[in-house]
Amino acid sequence: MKTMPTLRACLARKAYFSCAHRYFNPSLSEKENRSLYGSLYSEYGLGHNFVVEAHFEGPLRVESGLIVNIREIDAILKEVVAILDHRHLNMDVPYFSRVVPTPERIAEFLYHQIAERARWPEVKLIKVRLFEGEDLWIDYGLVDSEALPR
Amino acid sequence: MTQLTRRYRFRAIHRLADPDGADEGLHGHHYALEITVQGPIDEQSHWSASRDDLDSVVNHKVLRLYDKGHLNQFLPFTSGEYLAWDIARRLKPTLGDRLIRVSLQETRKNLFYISDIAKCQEINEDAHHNRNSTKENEG
Repeated sequence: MKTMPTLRACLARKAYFSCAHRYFNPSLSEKENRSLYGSLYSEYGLGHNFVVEAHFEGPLRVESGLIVNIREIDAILKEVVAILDHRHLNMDVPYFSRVVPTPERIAEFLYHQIAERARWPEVKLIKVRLFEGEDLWIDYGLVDSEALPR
Repeated sequence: MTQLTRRYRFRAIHRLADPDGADEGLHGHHYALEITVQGPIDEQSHWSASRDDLDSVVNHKVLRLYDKGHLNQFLPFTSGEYLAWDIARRLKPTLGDRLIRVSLQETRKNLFYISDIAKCQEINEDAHHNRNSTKENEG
């Protein structure tokens, strides 16, 4: 596959999912969890409408002008998001029985799940941005010194 | 490394000093403030920053003063870019190097953020040195 080495760009694609998560570390007592998570502690957990943005970087292909076909990205996002969508993460997703499903950990999980599937030559998943509703989001990925505004 | 951004809102009134001398009326905005902190994920809590701690710092250092405030009464300038600097300066001593971005949306049409946040303390002090001369201009 031929690329235009001087023309590089970034592409971000979104996917949506809703799930429940509970701030609770099973290796600590209930009292310790209450003091650790403060106002976010709850007996059953909380639900959110999450938005995940996958950011890719790479060279433009000569034949199409694309970094990668967006339909291929959608197929990956659909598969990954299905693991979490309409689940209670602590109970339904084995990975999160050991790891507390904070947005940070969910972003990390999504990053690795997407990176594992996104195996296009020269294209890199540079970061995952995960919105937990409107007022909080996490950036997880390779870019660790820049935080660009929305 | 993860970055956590939290969005806060505050309402405040101000009057902008126009460099050409034209007087702009006293008016208000419903500002949206985004604070980004960077850090590793903690092994016990599995998060990179306590939401309650961050909220308490932002409330205590900024919102308590800014929300429902008259900005000209405690600031030498009230432009969006200056407010972004001032907010960063107030948060920096507590948040330190973990604070990597302050961004302020004043209206739907404008957004202000700081290009080099490591310098937020020194630049703000310069502005305060020139405070008296600008007060006169602001009338």
